[in-house]
Amino acid sequence: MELIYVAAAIMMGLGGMGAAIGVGLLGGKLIEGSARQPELAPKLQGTFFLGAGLVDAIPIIGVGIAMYLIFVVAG
Amino acid sequence: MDLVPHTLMLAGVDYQKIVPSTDPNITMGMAIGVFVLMIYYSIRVKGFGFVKELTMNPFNHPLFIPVNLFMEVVGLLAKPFSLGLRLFGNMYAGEMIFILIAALFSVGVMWMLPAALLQIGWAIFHILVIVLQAFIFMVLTIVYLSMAHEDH
Repeated sequence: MELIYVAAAIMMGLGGMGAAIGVGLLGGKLIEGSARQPELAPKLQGTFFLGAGLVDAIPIIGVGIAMYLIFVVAG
Repeated sequence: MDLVPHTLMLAGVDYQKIVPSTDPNITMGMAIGVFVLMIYYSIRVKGFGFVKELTMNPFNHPLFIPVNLFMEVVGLLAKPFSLGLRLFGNMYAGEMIFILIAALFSVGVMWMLPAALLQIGWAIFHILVIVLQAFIFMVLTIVYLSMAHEDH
């Protein structure tokens, strides 16, 4: 039964790693694009938030399932 | 946390959550609604071309119809699935973390100040996240419907 906690930890950890790398890359492109064309900065920022939400989708599904495992399945 | 549901129970509404989207049934229900709209508009605008689009798409050869159908159906089903689960995951994880930080208050007196600061910090982040997720649900719905109205 203790292995469930390890499983949930792996789920959350790997998901977090993927999300952080993805959003970090996006943020870098945002800053670079805003530096090249400052007049497009608000539009790029809106697109950045959209992309960040999309990238976060699978890791957050993983976090939801992991929390379900910890609190409902493992008592 | 139980203030609003309890008040509503006194007013006669027996089952009301403060955040209904923490139930996957609710978010998948919304996503299935979007899926039905997608298919309805695809068939209405493209007619028989909808089936042509599903079966001939990456490889434009009649021999590849099963392969095309498989890939297109997986892509088509992934859309409402990811739409619903993304919203559910965000809402459920957000509320769960609120509850967990509140549980930190009962550990000891010295933990109350860090727990209060964490609670404030998470509340600010959560407000950003829920607005963002609502925006993403809306934008993706509109994008899928516009994809249903046009060819690849």
